[in-house]
Amino acid sequence: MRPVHTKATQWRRSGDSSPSAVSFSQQRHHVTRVPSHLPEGSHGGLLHSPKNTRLKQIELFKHVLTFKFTAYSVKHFEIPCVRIVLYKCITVTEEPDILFQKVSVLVKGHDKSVLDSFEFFATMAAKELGLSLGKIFEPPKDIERLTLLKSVHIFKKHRVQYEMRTHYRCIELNHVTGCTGQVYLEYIQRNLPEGVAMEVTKTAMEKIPDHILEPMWKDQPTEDKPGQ
Amino acid sequence: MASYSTKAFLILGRINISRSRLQNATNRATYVSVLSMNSPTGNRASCRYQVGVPRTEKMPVDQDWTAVYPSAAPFRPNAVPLPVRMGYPIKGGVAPDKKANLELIKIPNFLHLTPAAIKKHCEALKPFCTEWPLALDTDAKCDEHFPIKVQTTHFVSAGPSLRNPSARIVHLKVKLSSLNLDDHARKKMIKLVGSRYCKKTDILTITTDSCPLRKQNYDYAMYLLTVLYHESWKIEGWEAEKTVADMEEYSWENSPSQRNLLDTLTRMKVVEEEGGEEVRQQLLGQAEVQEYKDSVTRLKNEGENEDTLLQYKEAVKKVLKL
Repeated sequence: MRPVHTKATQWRRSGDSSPSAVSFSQQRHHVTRVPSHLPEGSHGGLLHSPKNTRLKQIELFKHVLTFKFTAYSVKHFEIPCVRIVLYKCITVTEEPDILFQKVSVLVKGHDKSVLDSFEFFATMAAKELGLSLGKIFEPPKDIERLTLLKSVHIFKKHRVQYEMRTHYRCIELNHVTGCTGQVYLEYIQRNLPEGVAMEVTKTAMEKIPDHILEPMWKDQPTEDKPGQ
Repeated sequence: MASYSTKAFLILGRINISRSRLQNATNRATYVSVLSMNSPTGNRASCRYQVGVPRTEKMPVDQDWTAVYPSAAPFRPNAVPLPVRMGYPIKGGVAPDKKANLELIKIPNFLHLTPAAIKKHCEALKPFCTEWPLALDTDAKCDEHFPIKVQTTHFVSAGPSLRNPSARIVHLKVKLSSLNLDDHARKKMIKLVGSRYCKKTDILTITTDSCPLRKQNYDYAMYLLTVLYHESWKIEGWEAEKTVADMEEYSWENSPSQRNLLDTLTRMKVVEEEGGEEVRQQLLGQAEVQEYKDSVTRLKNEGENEDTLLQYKEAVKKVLKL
């Protein structure tokens, strides 16, 4: 069964010759496009290192092939068979990767055992992906207490007290590249349990930009004008 | 009242069966398996649907657990072959078991993230990761090649809004020793930034939060750094009016201490009345005077320690030949 390149799918590959327009009387075709996932661009200059670190772009797109058709008879409609072909392309670009000296993941929750399990999951994932773990520690919990009146009306001497406990867990990673960090953080965040919040503090390192290397007044003669 | 043969048939949609027959089955959109209705007493209330064997009985020990819980799902007692108990124990007993236990359903479970599942996921994610360059293994090397540090915070939480206004804040930290600054430029830079410079660690911290987006704040921080750098190299006309009170460090030349010392020394040598200036120059050239100068400078700049006071004492003794 030959795949038919319709106009909708055609735009994906520039450079392909446009197919001859195929039209049927009752044609239904749809294309599901998954947006390509592009990591953020870099700041700062090129990274010179023995092994060139490159940014990898992930392009994921699906082609839904159209129905089998018979050109001979338009009237009767054959049972459509749909095949989904998944293309996964990992493109490697020369754009320099962001380098994070430290990535600190702080998770907050109301239940300590949930955070224990999440810590096990996060540390195991980091080890499997080859990330270097720094400190893993538990900051002290915060308790927010309220004292409210017990009764709807009067009875000021009788109160009821509530408290909200927030437990924390901090996982620090050292020497993470931009791509790896993005992959790891997305994996962790997609599997974040209900009722747990996360704060990620990233410390990116950059070279001094070119316009700060030399003062711009060097080329110009110094003028003895009072500053404005 | 008829007797039916045992038949299991799939019915999707509403079942409209007359009331004389299966009363239990009316108005149900389900898979219905009707078993034998041959009850001798003809009692309609005894027609019960038999519950099947739970899946846990049929699970082999070496099964692929990632197929049972491929993604996050609530706790299913019939799908988890563990004898878990959870909840407040009943009087004289233990916690309730897993059948119809709300506590087990409420709490988030990690059954979909077993070590086997994590390994599988990471195997699939590995191609998208990059390696850290081997040359940058210590912090010192990182600081040498990449002196600018940009710190940002990202927030993930559920609530009425996904946004967190604190996410726009950007901190830019750089050591002044890594920038190309001469002496005057460095002092001017420190005066310009004020409290953003930490003398102990020699780090300038620029915190921007005036723009609504993180990228804008980052661009603003880089712009501020550029402006500060170029402005500090500029020498303005009014900078010539810098007074002693504006100086960051103590310098001994043309200070009251120098004048006092030279006066004292000239008076000690008052016997030979020579030209004043040449005497002063000569005195300045002496080693003891230089030592005294160093000790006074150190005392003023570093503060009073035992070391500095000792050095001052020794220098004074030598100068005054005590």
